[in-house]
Amino acid sequence: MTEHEDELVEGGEAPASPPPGDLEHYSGQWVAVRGGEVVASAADEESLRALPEVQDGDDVYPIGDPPSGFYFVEGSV
Amino acid sequence: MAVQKKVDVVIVGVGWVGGIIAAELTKKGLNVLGLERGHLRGRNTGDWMDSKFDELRYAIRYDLFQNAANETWTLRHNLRETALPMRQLGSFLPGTGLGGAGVHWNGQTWRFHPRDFTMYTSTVDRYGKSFIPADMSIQDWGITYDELEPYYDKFEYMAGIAGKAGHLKGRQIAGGNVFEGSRSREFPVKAPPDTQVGALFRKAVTELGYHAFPGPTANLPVAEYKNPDGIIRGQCNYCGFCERFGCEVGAKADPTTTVIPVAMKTGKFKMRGYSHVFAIKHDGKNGQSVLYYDASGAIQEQPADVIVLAAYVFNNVRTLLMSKLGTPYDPNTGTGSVGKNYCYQTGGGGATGWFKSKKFKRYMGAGALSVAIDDLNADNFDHSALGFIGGGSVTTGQSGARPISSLSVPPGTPPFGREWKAAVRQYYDSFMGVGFQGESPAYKQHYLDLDPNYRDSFGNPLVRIAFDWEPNERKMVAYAGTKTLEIMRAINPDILTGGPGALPAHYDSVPYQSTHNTGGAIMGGDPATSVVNNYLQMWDAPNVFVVGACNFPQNAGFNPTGTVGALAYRAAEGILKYHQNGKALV
Repeated sequence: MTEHEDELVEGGEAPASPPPGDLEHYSGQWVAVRGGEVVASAADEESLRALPEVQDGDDVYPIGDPPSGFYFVEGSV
Repeated sequence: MAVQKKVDVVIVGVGWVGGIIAAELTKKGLNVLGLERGHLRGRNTGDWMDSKFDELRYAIRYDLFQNAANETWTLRHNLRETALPMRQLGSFLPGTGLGGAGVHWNGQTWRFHPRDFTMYTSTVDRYGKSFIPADMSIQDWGITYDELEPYYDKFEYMAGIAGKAGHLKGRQIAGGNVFEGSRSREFPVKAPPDTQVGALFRKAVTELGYHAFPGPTANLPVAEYKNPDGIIRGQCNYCGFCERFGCEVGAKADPTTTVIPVAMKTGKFKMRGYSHVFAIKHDGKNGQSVLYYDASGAIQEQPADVIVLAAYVFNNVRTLLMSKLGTPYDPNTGTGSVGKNYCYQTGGGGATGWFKSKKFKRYMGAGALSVAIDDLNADNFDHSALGFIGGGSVTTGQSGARPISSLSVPPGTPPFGREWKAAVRQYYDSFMGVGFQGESPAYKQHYLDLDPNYRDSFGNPLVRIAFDWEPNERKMVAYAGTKTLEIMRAINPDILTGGPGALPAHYDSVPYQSTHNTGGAIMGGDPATSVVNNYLQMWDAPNVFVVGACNFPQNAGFNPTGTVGALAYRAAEGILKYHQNGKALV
C-alpha cells in the first residue's frame, strides 16, 4: 500500500488525520518506506540499507530539499 | 446575452491544436471561428522585433503567459488538504494570446515510444500486473504508435522539424534514436551539427555504451524550408531567446507562422480575441454552443455544428466540468473520467559540470539544440531489479545564456559579492548540464476538479489540482541521478555536482520545473475509463472534440508538443468525417 491508498475509502469521506508517512521531516535524508510509513532514515543509502529495520522490498529513496533538489537542463518546454 | 451567427466549427483556443485544426478544416471549405482568450498579437514576426530581447519582460515578468491574478489553479498534495491557489506563476507557464504556448515553446519535437501508447499492457506483459503500484492508474491510449505515425509525420513536415531518424521503415539506423518507433520517412530537415557541449556529451555517452543522437528541433537550422502548405521559413540565428519568447525571424516553428496563416488565406477562418470561453451549452447528447465573456465582460453565445476544445490542459478540463459535460472523476469510487489521470513531468536527476579552461559560446543557442540519449527512457532498459516503472530522456542542451537567469556557479560560491562576481565571470561560458526529463505515471489520487473555495475574476471556480511525488518516481529520479553523474564524470569537468536525484518531500509549485501538464480529458478505447475516443471525440457528445495534452492517459519522458500536434491532425481528420456523417467515429 502506498502513502495515499488509504485515503481512497470507497464511498466514504476522507479521514481528518494528517497523512501518514509525511516526508517533510526527512528532507536531505534517505528513507525506507514500507506500507506508506517511514520505517528508517539515514544520511545516505549505504547507511540506511545497513540498518536492521530495513528489509528487502522496502522502498528506498532520498528526499530532496527544494529548490536545490531540482536541475532542469535549459530548454525543457 | 447575445447569440452570434452559427458557424460550422468553433475552436476554443488558437494555439498549435487550434491552428492545425483550423487550417485542415478551412482547406476543406468549412467555416471556422477561433475564440482566443488573449489578444491576437504575433500575427507576423515583426511583432517581436523591437522587444524580443527583453528578458525581464518576457522571462521574468511572464508577458506571454496566463495572468495568475485573473485566473489560476489551486493545488493540494492529497485529498485531506485544503487546496490553495498559486498566486503567481512558477512551476509551469501556460501561454495565452494567439499561438498560445506554441509561441514561447523551445521547439523540442519528440515522438512518444510505441510502448508509451500501450504502457499498461506492455508493463503487465513484461513484468506482471503486481509490478504496477496498487494506486497507479496507467492505461493504454486506445491508439497505437503505428496508427498515429502518419499524423506525427504530417506535423513534422508542416513544422520543418530537423533531426536524424533512428528507425526508418522498420530498419534501425545508427546516429538516430534507435529506440524510437519506426518512421515512414526521414525528418524533413537535416539535424544541426553538435555544439561543443553536445560533442562532449556525445563522446562520453558513446564511451559508456549509450546511443547518442541529435535532439529533434523546430528551430530551423537550414537557410530555408518550404512546408507542404507552401509556408517558407528562414534560418535560426541562434540568439538564445526561444523559451518564454516569440521568434522574431520565424525560424522557430509556431502556429502564427505556419498553420494560422494557411487557415487565414482560405478566407474561411475568423478569430475573436479576448473571448474567454467558460462553458459548452448542450442538451445532454450534443454540444449546441459555447458561452464566453467578451472583452467587455458581457456573456456571448456562439452556436456551432462542431465544438473543439483546443485550449491548455486546465482550461479544457475546466470547461467540461463547468459545462457538466461528461462524468467527473471520483477518486474514491474510481468512477467517471473528466479530470482523471492528471500527470506532470518528473524532473531532477541531473548533473552539472564547470570547466576552468573551456569556453562554450553559451550566449548562442536555440531552444531545442541538444544531443540526447534514450537508453534510460520508457522501458528501454530492464526494470526487473529496479523496483520502478518508467524512465526519461537524458540530454545536454545549448539554449542560450541570457543575462539574468542563465548564470551558474559552482557549489560553495557565495550568493552575492566579490566572490560571486568572480565566479560568474569565470564560469558564465564554462559550464554544462546533463538533464533528465522523466515520465509521470497516472495515479488514482492525482486528478483535476473544480475548487469549492476559490474563483477566477469572472466568479467561476478554479481548477483544483491534486498531485504529489510518489515512490515510483522518487526511485526513478534517484536512479537517473546516478546515471547522469556517471555521464558527467566521463565528460570530466573540473568541478561537478550530481548523484541520486532527490525529489522534495512534496511537489512544490514555486520553482519553474516544466509546463508539461497532461491528462484530465484522456483518450482511450472504453467510454467508462476515458473522455474521448481515438479521434478525440467525446464519448458523451459526438460533436464535441477535446484535443491536446489533456488526452494523454499518462505522460511520457519527452516533451509533449510533437504528440499534441499529431493528435491535432488526427482530430481534424475525425472532425471532417463527423461533419460528413454526423456519427460517433468509434
